Amino acid sequence: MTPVTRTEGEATLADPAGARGSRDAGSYRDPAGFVYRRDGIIYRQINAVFAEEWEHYTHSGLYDRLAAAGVVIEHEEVDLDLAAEPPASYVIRPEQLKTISYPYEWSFSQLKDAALLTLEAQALAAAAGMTLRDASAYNIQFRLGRPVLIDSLSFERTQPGQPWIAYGQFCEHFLAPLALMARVDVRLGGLMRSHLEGIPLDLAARLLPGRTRLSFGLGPHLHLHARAQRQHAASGATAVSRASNSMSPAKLETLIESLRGTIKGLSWEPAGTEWAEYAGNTSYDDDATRAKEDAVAAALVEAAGSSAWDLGANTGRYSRIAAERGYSVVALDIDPAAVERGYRALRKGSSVDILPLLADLTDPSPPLGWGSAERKGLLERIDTDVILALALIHHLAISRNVPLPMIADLFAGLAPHAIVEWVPKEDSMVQQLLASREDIFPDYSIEGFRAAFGAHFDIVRETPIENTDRTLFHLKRSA
Amino acid sequence: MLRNSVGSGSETVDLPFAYIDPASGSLVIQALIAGLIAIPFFFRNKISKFIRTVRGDSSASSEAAPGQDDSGHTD
Repeated sequence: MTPVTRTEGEATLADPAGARGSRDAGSYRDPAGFVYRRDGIIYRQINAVFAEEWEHYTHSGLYDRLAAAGVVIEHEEVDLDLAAEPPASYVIRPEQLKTISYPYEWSFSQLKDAALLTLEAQALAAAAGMTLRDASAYNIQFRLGRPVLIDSLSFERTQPGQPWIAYGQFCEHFLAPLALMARVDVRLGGLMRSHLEGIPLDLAARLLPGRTRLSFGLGPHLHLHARAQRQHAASGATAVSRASNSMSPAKLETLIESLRGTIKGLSWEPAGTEWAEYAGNTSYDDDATRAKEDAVAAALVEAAGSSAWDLGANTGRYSRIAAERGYSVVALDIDPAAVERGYRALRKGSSVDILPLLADLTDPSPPLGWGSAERKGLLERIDTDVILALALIHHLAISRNVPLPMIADLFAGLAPHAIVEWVPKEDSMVQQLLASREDIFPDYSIEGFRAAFGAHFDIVRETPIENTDRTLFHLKRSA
Repeated sequence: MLRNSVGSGSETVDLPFAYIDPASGSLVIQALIAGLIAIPFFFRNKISKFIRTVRGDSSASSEAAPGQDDSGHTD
């Protein structure tokens, strides 16, 4: 089950001693530079071939402007000695991000905001005589609840008249999936997992309703675009050379503004998915909710951690409680509507250190890409102090038939502390789950729970939640 | 300095640092799309201005920047 990944200090062809750093498995495509890890820190090196462009990027003030606007991640320049491979001209240490996530784990609005951010970066770059060399969704990460561009090497000086190199990639990575999620079904976002290079435009065109051919945005940028790609697939050099002087700055601006309008016009309202009405439909009255919140808060304080993963976070009520107590939180949920609502709520206020992500614990994103290592699996990325598993156990054990010992096993591998809500069979929610099926769960009981989790954890505290038949467990992994 | 050239002879095109593969169609179609879109944009701004004048809107001082107002997009 452990994927083949580079560990630090492993020997490579260019660096037999492995001491100069190990390259990120996904950072190989770009001759301008790459990302690597050295002594636990992430660096990016700028190769000699790209030195001039980098200097222009930093000296022209574009970087400062992008950083001030919160568009690009901030970095500091460090000693060239820290380079991983020659020939490097510069080495930078970007702000380190706690958790990496991928577009196929984002909600609709997270992807939409990432798209708009990319266009904003391009617009700011154009004003400074530069342009984005790529528009990959993997160039974006989330930081304190907001998207940020992490690929500092994306910018190069514009060649006057040249078309935008990244236009095709932008439409495949952003426009196509967003259009499919908004106009067909939000679950089509899952296509991103099997199309790491972006959704092919011909596929998107085929899946979208025919009337989108008439829309001002999707008509040209998706349908016409798909047809052009198909028609020119074999044209190669002649067609490209004819295009080489075709895009004036004004035309480029029109193109970008049109894309912005198109993306903005795509919307998806999170109603009607399974968990959307969940919040109003539970075993909890106001007193019980308050009691649970207090118990969870107390457990979080007792665990004295700095990071938490809230599994089955729904819209993030308890993630917020953790964040308020100084935790850096990742809020996972299987329901696109829940993640969307959670993200929208975060967007309203000031930055909170919560990252909502879409994930199915019974099928967490696996490692993907070249060598099955470019995009790390979800479980591999969990590096945390506390797991929150509130109103979750019964969904795993009953709905998905996962035996309690296997759940305990998984949790034990994820973090030293687990705050778990035990939901007994008598609970109305479990009765609902069992309504249409045979009760094949003889071991699903609080004794079964204690036995299963006792194999890996010690019970720090057990708190029955008043007005309910549920119990909150604070568990600590045994030494 | 690394420069990528596509084509041959008199039809060489410099695509510096184009490490991604920009589909030929994506390069070729841009100018057409930008041209197509410029027309409704141009007219939409004229039309909104006209409508505001007709309505006698006192708040007409805010001009919608192109692309920001997506009322023309029914997507």
